[in-house]
Amino acid sequence: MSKTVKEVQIGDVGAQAASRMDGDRMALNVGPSHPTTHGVLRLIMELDGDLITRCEPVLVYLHRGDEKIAENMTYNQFVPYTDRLDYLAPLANNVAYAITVEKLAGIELPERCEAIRVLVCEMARISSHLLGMGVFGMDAGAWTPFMYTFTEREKLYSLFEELTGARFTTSYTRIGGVARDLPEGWLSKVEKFVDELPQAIDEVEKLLTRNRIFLDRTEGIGTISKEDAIAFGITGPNLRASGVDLDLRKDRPYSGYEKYEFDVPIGTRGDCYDRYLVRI
Amino acid sequence: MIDEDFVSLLLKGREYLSVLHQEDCLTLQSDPAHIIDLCTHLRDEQTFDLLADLTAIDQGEDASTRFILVVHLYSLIHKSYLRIHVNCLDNLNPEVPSLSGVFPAANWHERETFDMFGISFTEHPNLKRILMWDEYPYYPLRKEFPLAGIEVPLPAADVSEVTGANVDPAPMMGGPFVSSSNGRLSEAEPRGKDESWTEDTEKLL
Repeated sequence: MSKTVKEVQIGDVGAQAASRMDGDRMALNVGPSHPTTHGVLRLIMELDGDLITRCEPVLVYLHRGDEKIAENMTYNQFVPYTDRLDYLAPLANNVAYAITVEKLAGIELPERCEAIRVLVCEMARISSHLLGMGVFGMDAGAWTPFMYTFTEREKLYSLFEELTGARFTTSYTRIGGVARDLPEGWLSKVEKFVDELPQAIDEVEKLLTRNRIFLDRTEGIGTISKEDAIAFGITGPNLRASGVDLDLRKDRPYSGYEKYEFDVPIGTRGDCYDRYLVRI
Repeated sequence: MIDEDFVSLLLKGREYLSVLHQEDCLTLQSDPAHIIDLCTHLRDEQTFDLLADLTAIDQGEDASTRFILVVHLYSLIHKSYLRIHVNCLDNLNPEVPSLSGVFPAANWHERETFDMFGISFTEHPNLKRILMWDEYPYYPLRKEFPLAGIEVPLPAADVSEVTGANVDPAPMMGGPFVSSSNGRLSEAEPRGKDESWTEDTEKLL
């Protein structure tokens, strides 16, 4: 048995894990995977047969020290860095950063600017969820929904490009406003997109929501209870999937969110399937 | 409701607490010794059960209190944030009790704060660096740490033995997008220096 343990000794942490083994277990090192995959994470696991008895995550292989960079910049200079914090919804990051600085400086915004910000935030949310659900299906073994969500996401990126000049790194906000006004005819293109989107979502739902294989692979998997979700400080859709009614757009409205009517989906069981449902 | 009654009830019998006047949310100042009691009370009796953030502020080497621990709590019932400042008593070896027993979410936040600021959290179950490697000799978010970094040996001794390589400071130090954090904003911002065009006078092309 000790032979198995020796074979998988990788680095110092792997060796530490191996030294704790009582003879029936083995250490397995997963990752770190390449930066172009979903995220770079290394898991040092202790296995008892198929069962994971212990897991130590080693993270932040892509730490960039944004705080230190920001210390050496003016407020507007830092905007492009916020694009890269979550590259799937850069517009939402731009807005969050701008609002923070404006709060510090006590700047009030014109209504039009606030409305534009809400609009781009929600578009960023849709694009992020489209990618999220597409690759979620793909990771669970369903290739096709990915094609549908990426088609829609592509349309969104064309709109972002027209608005901000960039598809990914939008850098759209400035302290006290946004970089430029909406282009002529852009809003009607957004309306066209919004009209078409539900059909595409329906197609994805047909492929996933009642799909037996998808259900088997997500229902009851990775369940996070309400209490655990709060204790571990989970936020956003992952928290709502666990049945906690927390949405800052409703509870502490910013940028004029109180003027809009919308429903917030809440999960019941907090498993992977609920985390899919609250997004779709 | 987070109102004056709430605050006066909270302050009653807690001489170590004081209110700091900040615009966005109720901010309390506590001392390190009572922080666990205070947070347990806020979690169990006052519904502030979600730890939103835990970080620190470095006031600079000359400050009388150099390190301030900052804790953000959120209450789902009050729909409100609450901030706690904890002044670390020792400027050279700052130390605070760990909150990971009260909020499991604090575990990694405290490891990050330890890694970046060098604040030790007593009774933390696994206090080791989370971003930098274990043997790294500096605390990068302290004010005296330079933006470019400092040359240190590679984390893997066997690799540096063969290659002779070190972790070098970044070559971008002092580049076009680096501004001093001192002085007026209009001077620090490069575009602020060109006054030939304003909102009223058009830029000459």
